[in-house]
Amino acid sequence: MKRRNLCKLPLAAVVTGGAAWGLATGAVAAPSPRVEAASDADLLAAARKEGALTWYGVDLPYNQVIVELFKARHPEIKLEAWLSGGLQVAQKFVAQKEARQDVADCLTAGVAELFPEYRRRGFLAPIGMLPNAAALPPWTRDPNDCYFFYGSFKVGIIFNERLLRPDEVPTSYRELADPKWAGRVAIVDPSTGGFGLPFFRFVAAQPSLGPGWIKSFGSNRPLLSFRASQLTEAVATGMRPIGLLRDTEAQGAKARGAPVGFRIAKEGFLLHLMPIAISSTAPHPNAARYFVNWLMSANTQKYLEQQGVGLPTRTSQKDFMSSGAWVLDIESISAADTRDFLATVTQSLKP
Amino acid sequence: MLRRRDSADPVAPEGGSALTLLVTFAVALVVAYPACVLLLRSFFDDAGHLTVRNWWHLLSSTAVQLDLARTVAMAACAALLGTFVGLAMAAMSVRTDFAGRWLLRIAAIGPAITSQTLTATAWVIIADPGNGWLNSALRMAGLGITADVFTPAGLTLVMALLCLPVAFLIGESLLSTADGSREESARICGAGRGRVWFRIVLPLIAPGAAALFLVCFAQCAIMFSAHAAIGMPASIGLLTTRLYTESVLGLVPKGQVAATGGLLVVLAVVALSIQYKLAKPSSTYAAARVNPPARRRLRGFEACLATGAAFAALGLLLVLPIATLGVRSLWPFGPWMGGTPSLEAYARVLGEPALLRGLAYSTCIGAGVALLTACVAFYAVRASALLRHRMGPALHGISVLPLGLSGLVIGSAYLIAFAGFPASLQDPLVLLVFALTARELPVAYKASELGFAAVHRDLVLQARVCGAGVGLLSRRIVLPLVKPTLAGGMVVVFLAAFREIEISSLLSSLHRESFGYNVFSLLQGGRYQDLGAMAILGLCVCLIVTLPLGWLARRRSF
Repeated sequence: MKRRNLCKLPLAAVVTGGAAWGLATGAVAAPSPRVEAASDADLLAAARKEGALTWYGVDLPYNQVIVELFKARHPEIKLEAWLSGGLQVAQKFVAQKEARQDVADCLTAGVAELFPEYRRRGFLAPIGMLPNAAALPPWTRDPNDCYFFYGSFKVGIIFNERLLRPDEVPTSYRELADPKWAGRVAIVDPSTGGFGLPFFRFVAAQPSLGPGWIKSFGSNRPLLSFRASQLTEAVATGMRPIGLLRDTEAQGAKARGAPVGFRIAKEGFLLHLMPIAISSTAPHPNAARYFVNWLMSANTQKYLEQQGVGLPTRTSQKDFMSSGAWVLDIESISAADTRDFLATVTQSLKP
Repeated sequence: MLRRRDSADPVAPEGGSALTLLVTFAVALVVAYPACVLLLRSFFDDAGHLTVRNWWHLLSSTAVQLDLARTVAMAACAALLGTFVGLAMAAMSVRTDFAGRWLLRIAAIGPAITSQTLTATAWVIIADPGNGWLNSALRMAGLGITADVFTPAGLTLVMALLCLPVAFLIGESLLSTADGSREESARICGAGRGRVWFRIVLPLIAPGAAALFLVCFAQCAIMFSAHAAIGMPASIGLLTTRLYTESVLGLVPKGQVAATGGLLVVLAVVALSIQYKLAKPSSTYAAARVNPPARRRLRGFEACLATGAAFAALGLLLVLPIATLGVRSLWPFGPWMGGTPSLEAYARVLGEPALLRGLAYSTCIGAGVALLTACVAFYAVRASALLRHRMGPALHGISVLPLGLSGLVIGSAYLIAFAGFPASLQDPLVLLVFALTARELPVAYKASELGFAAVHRDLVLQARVCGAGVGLLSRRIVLPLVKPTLAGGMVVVFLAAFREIEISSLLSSLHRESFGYNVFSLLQGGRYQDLGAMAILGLCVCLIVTLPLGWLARRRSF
C-alpha cells in the first residue's frame, strides 16, 4: 500500500521556491559604461542618467551636512548614504568586494591607513583625471590618485562644562597621565575607532610624550569608546569629564545643547584627514565620479569651510606646512606596521 | 546505511530514509559546513598554502594566552555564580509553595526577553563609576562606596545575571525531575530538611548541576554582548573581543582570524563534550517515571520573606534594567544633565527607515527562524534516533554544537564559507536566516527531545494497531504531545533570533539591517537615548509575538 509522506510536499515547495527565488534575484545589472568626461557638465549628464549613488561613509556631523547639501543641489540623483562607524563600513566594503557584490559607489572611512592597501588590492578607481582634481593642493591628494582628503579635523580635549571649571581643565596631554585623572578620561579605542590609532602615533612622535606617556595614560584606566560619537556622549552625559576628540564632534554636540567645551592641547594637534575614494566596481561609476568631483569643487569646499573645523581643503601646501598640524603619512606605513603598532598600544592601555 | 536501528520502531515514517538524508544534509549545511570551512581556513595563509603558522602564531602569543586565561577565568566565575543563584531560585520555585512564586519565575526568565546588549548597557548606565545612577545615589547618601561596572568583577556579575534564565530553566527541570521517593524515605526515617538536601538531593542533582555549570560556562565565554558593552570600554581583553576587532579591522590575515575563531570552537567543543557525558540525554519514547518531589508550603514569616525576595529579584533582574532604559530614552543627555524629558527619541526611531526596517526584518526573520528550527529539530531528533552506528550521536552532536559557538564565530564562518556562492545566497537576509537557524538549532533540538520523551511507545503502538498511518499518527498523537515543548522552544528561538547582535553585526548591511545590528550601531554611536527607545519598542514587539506562543507552550504534556 502506497503511503504518502505529507511532509515531503512542503519541503519540496520550499526547495523549488528557494531555487526560483535564487535564479530570479541572482541576476545583477551590469554597471553603465564610464564616461571619460572632460568637463563637469558631461559628468553631471552621465550621473543624471544613472540617477543613483551609494556612499559608505562615517557618521560625522560634517558628512551629514554634505549629504543634505548634495540632496538639495541634486535631487535628481538619489544619494543613499550609509553613515556608520568607519571600520564597519570599511569591513562591509571589503566583504562585499571579496564576495563580488557591488553595492558601494564611494567609500569614506576614518581609518585612512587602510586606503593604500585597498588601492593595492585593486578596490579603488583612479580619480586623478577628474576636472577639479588638478586644483587640489598636494597635501589633500593621494600620490597615486586613488583617493583625496575632502575634510580634516583637529583632535583636542573635550570637557564637560558642568563637571569641570575652566581652570580645572587640563591644557596639555601630559597632565592626563597624572594619577588625579585616573578613571576620568575617555578616548576612542584604537582598535575600533578611526582616529584612535593615528592619535597614538601622534603621541608617540612627540618628544614630550612618547611611549612612556601611553603606558602612564593606560594606568589611569581611560574609558575606551567604540567611536567618536560614543565618546561625545560619554563626556556630554558626564560619564567622564574629559575626552580626547575631534573638533567636529565637539561642535556638533555643542549645537545639540550638550554642556561641553573644546580646546587644543599645548603639544599641538593631530589633523585627522578624511579620505574619499571610488570603488573600482562601482554600480554607478559616473554618479560616483560626479560626487567626488563635486566635493573637490571650490564652491562645495567654500560651503564646508563654514563648518569651521579642521583646515580648509583649499589651504595651500605652504600654509599647511606652517599650520602646526601633525598629519599621519599613510603612504609610508604598511598594514603590518599598523598591526604591530596597534598591538603595542593595546597592550599599553591594558590596566 | 540509513536502516532503522530498531525495525519495530513504530513512528519511523516510510520514505524515512529520504527525509533523514534531507535533515542530515540541512543540519550539516547550516552548522557543520561553515564550522569546517572556518577551521580549514585557519590552516591556510592568504596565498593559499597549507600552514600551521596561524595556530602557532596564535597559541605562542602572550596576549592571546592572557585573553584565553581571562576568558576561561571570568566565564567560570560568572557560570559558578549564575548556576548557584539559578539553582537557588529554581529550588524556591519548584520545592516551595508561596504567594509570590510566579514573581520569581518572571524575575528569572524575564531577562531573556530583552536583548543582552541592552541589559548590559542598562547596567553601564546604572553602575558607571562616573555618573552611574547607583553611584550618584550613593554619593548623595554620603557613602564613600563606588560601584564600578568597568572592572572584571563588574563584567562577571553582569554575565552571571545574563546567564540566569538558562540556569533557572535547566535548574527547574533538574529539580522537578529528581525522584522524590528517596527524600520521602529519608524524612520518614527522621532526617531533617538540611540533611535531606545535603545527603540526598544535592548528590542526586550534582551531575546535572555540573552539566548546567558547563552550559553556563560556554554561554559566558561567548557572551559578546556583555564583552562589547563592558569589556571593550574597560580594556578587558577577551577572545570574543579579539575575534571582533580582528574581523572588523582587516589588518590580520584571514587565516589568523579563522584560527582565533577556531580556538573558540575548540573551547566550546571541550565544554560541551564534558557536559554531554555528565548529562546523557534521556532515550526517546521513554516516559519520565518519577515521583515528583513534594512542595513545602511556606507560611507566616517564611512566606513573607520569600515573597519579598521574589519582589527584590524581580526589581533587580527585570524592572531596574528596563526602567533605566525607559527613563534614559526621555532625556538627550541623561536626567542629571538638564533638559526636559520628551518622546523625541521614539519619534526619531519610528521615523528613521533603517531602524524601522530593522524591527520589521528581525520580526520576520525571528519568526522564520523559529519555524525553521522547529521543523529541522523535529526531524533531526527522529533522524538521530534512526541513524545507525555513530551517525546518530554525530548528528546529535552537530545539532547542539552551536550552543557553545559565539555568534562572531558563526558570522565569520558564514562570511568565509559562502563567499563563492551565487549572489542571491549571499544576500545578508538569507545568510542571517541560515546563520541564526544554526545558532538556535540546539534550543529547538533540546525542546524537541523533551517533547519526544513524553511520547509513550504504547500510545503509538496502539494507534498503529488500530490502523493509523504515518500522517495520522504524526498529526493526532505525536505532534499534539510534542507541540507544547516545541512551541516553548519556538518562543525562546524567536527571542534569541530577534535580539541577536553578533551575527548581525557581521552580516547586516545597508537596507538589510536587523534589530540587533541597529542596537549595536546605536551603542557604538553613543545614541543612548535612541537605544532606550529601541529597547522599549523591541520589548513590545517581543511581547506581542511571544505571548500567544507562550500560551500554547503552557499546555502540558504527560
